[in-house]
Amino acid sequence: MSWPILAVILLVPLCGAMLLLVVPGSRSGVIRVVLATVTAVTLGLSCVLLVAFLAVPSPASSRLTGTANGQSLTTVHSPVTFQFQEQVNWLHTSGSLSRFQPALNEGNNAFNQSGPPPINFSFHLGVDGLSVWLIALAALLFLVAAVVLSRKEPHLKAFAVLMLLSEVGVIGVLTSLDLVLFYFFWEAALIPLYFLMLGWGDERRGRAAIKFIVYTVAGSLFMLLAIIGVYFVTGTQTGVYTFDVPTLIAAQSFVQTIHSTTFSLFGHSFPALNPQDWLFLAFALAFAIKVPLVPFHSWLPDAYSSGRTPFLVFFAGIVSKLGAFGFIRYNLTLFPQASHFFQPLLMGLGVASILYGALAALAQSDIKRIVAYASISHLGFVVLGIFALNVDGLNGAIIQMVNHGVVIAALFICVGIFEARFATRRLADLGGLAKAMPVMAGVFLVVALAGLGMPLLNSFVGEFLILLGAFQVSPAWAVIASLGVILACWYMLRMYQGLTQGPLRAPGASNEESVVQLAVQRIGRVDLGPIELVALAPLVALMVVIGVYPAPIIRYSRFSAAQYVQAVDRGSLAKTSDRTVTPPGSSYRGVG
Amino acid sequence: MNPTLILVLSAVILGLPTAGFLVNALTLGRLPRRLVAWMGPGVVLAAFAATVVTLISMLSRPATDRGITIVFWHWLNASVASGSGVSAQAGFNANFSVRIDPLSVLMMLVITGIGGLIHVYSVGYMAHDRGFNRFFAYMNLFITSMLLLVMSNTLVFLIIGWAMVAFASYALIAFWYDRPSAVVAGRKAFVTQVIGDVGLVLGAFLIFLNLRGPAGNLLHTVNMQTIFANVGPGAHFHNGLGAYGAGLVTAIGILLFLGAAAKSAQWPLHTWLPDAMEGPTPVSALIHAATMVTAGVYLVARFHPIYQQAPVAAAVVACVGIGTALMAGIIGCTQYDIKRVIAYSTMSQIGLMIFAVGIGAYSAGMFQFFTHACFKALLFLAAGNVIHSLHDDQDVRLMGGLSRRMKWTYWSFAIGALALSGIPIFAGFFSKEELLGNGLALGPAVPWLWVIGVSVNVLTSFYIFRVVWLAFRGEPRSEHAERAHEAPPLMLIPVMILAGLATVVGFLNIDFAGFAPVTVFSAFLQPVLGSPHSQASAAIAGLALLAGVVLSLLGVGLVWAVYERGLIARDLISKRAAWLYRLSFNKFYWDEIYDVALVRPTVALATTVRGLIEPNLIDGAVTGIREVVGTLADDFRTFQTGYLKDYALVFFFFAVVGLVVLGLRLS
Repeated sequence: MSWPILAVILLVPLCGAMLLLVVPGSRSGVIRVVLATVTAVTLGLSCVLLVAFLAVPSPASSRLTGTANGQSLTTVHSPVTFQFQEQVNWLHTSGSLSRFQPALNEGNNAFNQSGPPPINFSFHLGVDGLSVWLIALAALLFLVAAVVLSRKEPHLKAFAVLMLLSEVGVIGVLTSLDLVLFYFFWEAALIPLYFLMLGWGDERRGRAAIKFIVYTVAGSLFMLLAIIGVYFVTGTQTGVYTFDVPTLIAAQSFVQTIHSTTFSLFGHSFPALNPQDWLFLAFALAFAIKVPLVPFHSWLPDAYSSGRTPFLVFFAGIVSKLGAFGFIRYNLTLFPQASHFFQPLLMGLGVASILYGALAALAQSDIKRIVAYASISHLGFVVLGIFALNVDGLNGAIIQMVNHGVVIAALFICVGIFEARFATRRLADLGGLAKAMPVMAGVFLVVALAGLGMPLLNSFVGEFLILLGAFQVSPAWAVIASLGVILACWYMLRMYQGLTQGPLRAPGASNEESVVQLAVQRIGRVDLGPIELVALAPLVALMVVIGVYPAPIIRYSRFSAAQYVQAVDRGSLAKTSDRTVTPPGSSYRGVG
Repeated sequence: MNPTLILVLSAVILGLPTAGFLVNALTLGRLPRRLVAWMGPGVVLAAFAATVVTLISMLSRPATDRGITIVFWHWLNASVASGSGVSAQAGFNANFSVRIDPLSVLMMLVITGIGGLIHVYSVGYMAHDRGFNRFFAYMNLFITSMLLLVMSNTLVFLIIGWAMVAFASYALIAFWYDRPSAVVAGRKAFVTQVIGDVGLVLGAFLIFLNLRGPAGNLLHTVNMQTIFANVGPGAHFHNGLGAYGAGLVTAIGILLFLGAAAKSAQWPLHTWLPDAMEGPTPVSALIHAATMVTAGVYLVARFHPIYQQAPVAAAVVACVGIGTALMAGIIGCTQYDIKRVIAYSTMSQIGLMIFAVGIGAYSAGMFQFFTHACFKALLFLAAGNVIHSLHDDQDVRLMGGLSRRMKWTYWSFAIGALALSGIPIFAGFFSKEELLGNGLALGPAVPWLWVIGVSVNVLTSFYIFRVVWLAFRGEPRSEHAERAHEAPPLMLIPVMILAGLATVVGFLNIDFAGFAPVTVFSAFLQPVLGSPHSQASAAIAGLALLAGVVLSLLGVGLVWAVYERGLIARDLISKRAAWLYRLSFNKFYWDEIYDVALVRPTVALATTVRGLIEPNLIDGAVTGIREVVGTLADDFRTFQTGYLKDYALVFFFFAVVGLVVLGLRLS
């Protein structure tokens, strides 16, 4: 690709936001058209990216980090490769920064001497089989959100601008290949999201927004410290001081930590945590909050239940994926040993999220909260798959990230449709609505089935692969996690049947005519409207297509999944032999 | 067989009901009823025709060459070959392929044939229903899913079909969704099925991860033919799972049977089936009698290479089957809902089939499935005629005397009852006696399981003829019963066709007591299921056969004595053995047990999470931190008094402390 497609994908929503600034706020029609056009163009570009991604012959061949100077012993191939790389130097205080890192031995010679370590970071973008899908998903969900955004939304212009800004942030997180850049986008996305949460929604939105921002920023703070930590730990051990992600990933092959110290507890001796472990935990905390994993999910139910539907479509749909994305992209590659060391902990948290989210969903009376906790449960599967640390688990996690985005967005649209018509979110207030809105009941049924992991719909593929991956690591975890599937069936049917089946019930209405009348008075119709159908149709179509024929997604993701497994497997050698093995042919200095 | 022809045929067989479903679903139920009334049954009957063509094509080949596997598309492949900077990594891979062989064709014939008849019947039964189009959409979806289940050659697609029939079953049980009981019954059925699905999935994992080829390499396959070739007795026999000892193969057998038990309503996952009678009666006939509930039998028969390697698992299957048969038979004797009696009868009969495939009499189990599909669909549809004519009354206490007003239905129902009871010349006689006869020679605890099985005969003929007497004979006991009328031809003709089938299909296989003049059926299945096993000696088998028939007749005689002549008081059992009566009437209290042991604890746990853990522990921690920080901030705020003297005092205090410390360090 001769033109910088990733930068263009980033710039389109940014320019769109600028453009919207000059549109008068009263022209709501124009605002919606601009918003829809900009998000559609972004989606189109990300589809071009998808097509081009597969068209690149042999994805890894010439794009390996470290092959530039070709020294056989010291040249390290990054186990994870990226395509469509674009790099512009931003700031570097000393040392050379070629497009692909300097050979590592030179780095050693250069930087083992005295003097302040150099600071290098660059505007470096790139994608792999993991992010290419998430970018497409993000672009799709922003378009869907633009479609469901009502003309009557108060402060429409501000909403649209903030929405496009968060799209920039989200896609930036997914494309950046430099830790500083990544952190920049990570934080930059928070600001519009915070204001979107604060400005639109029900009366509890203020509390939810504060909780969200404080919680997330707290996590980010640890991540910032860890980013600096990675920089120095990698730098002191290998001589490569850089924030460049491919280089850092490659350099981890040389970073070794020795557990010379142990501490004893209850008569057992345990290896003391080394700096890598702490850095892993700091990253993991930020991502665990973002996903969120139980018990770091306290911000989520409030945020999800108070937000507006268009906001939730992309907030629940894609922002939560950034945490899972971070786990794969950063935790597995930068801390391979720690990933193995903490594998039981993270798998445990994944399983805990699955069951806890499912149980909590089962007991909710607010339909938005049911979906919120269902989301926690589903994302538990994703984390479980990631930390199975094998091909099946990772492929399952990647496909499940896409699936979850599609399903949760559709669920929030559906729930929002009921809320808009009947002005209540209490499950007990509603019932039997299939009589009044048969089309909605049919669409909602497909969405709910996808949510409970119905075969031939998308979630089944992901959950199947994730459980298979987890089963290879620990049959017990997989069996316990599969209880979550049973509970999912229960809470989804409870919600679906509660809303659409049973005797007809709606607040202030006693029979079918009055239910219809009530909804028509409120929003002009009772069954699905054309705009809602247009918003839901691509999501439902994706659910079916991915479920029936998931091969294309796996074809994109499997190569990257294998690469990530290979990256994290660098740490398994050390794990099996007390984590003290020195890799042959590397010169390194231990820390501490 | 010509692969292209079979490819086209199987695409047609799967595609037609799918198309029927999609057309109905995507037009959002707006198609004219007349069109749906033709299209709904039409696609199924056309699929039946295609199945018959497949059968003919198959029969033209020698028996050894009647199996063919056709790949439709690659579902997914997560494996990566080495090169391009990654080493080879084996991941999950599966394609969608179908297997056409005698076993799948038998299932397809029943699904599309009896399914087609039931579709035709439904046009009459559902004629005045508001959800006519929705009904046929779900029925067609069910046919597709069930065909997928039996045709799939990939374990994953078997699971997909397995779960899809559960959904179709749910949707049809809860079809009249404004009835709260139907809604609850649907949910119960679905959740139970998902429990079974999980067992099936875990069993599939174990096979996928552990199966080894002849060279000792891990195969990583979900292709069922490959699995069977490497597990069981095949051309180059070796036990591809044997390297792990008997435990693994037993675990696989038990996990697969968990799926089978859920689907076939076997203990301990049986409680959904009676509640499923909330659905329209054609649904009960199609899904909860003829096809879906027998999928468990199909599964065990299909996976017999695994069960042959896992005698413990097979014994569990046999014991669960026979136990369920007995329990359901006892329950059936005291129920008053006509559909529930037939439902318990189904559970009991499927228990016998499960027993048969558990002891290794696969062909006998499948024969019982085949005859049962005919006479049980017949019983349900005839009962449907009664219910339809009585304006949805299902309680036999409100019936009576219907034989005079519904002559055709009465005789059809009676044929079904005779066939079910195993009275000679009717279909159930041949299949059931063959099945039970195997119990004398095969399986665990010979001949005690046979003793249980044969004594179920008394219960079977008692409960079904009890219904015949209560519903059809005597005097009408309600206004509706007095004004009952015969069903319209559209509903009567399928019933009569089924009555004909229930009379004659037994002659396809006359094979018991060492006396086997006709083996059309078992010879047809022989390439897949193997030869029948050794039987008990002719004399013993002959006595056993006699015992079976005598016991069946004894049941009929009891009904005659109790309900016709009043020789035995009706309340004899409820008076003399009240505990037994209560146990039977309350279905052995399984619903209550599960409610107390599973449902309530889960709900209590969920409520605890919501009401206690979430606000206090999870949110409380966050709020707690906020409060601590806030309190600290408040405390520190008091230092900022703004008075110079306060600051000077603090400064002076710390200066002194600092000096003292400094002095101590220096000295």
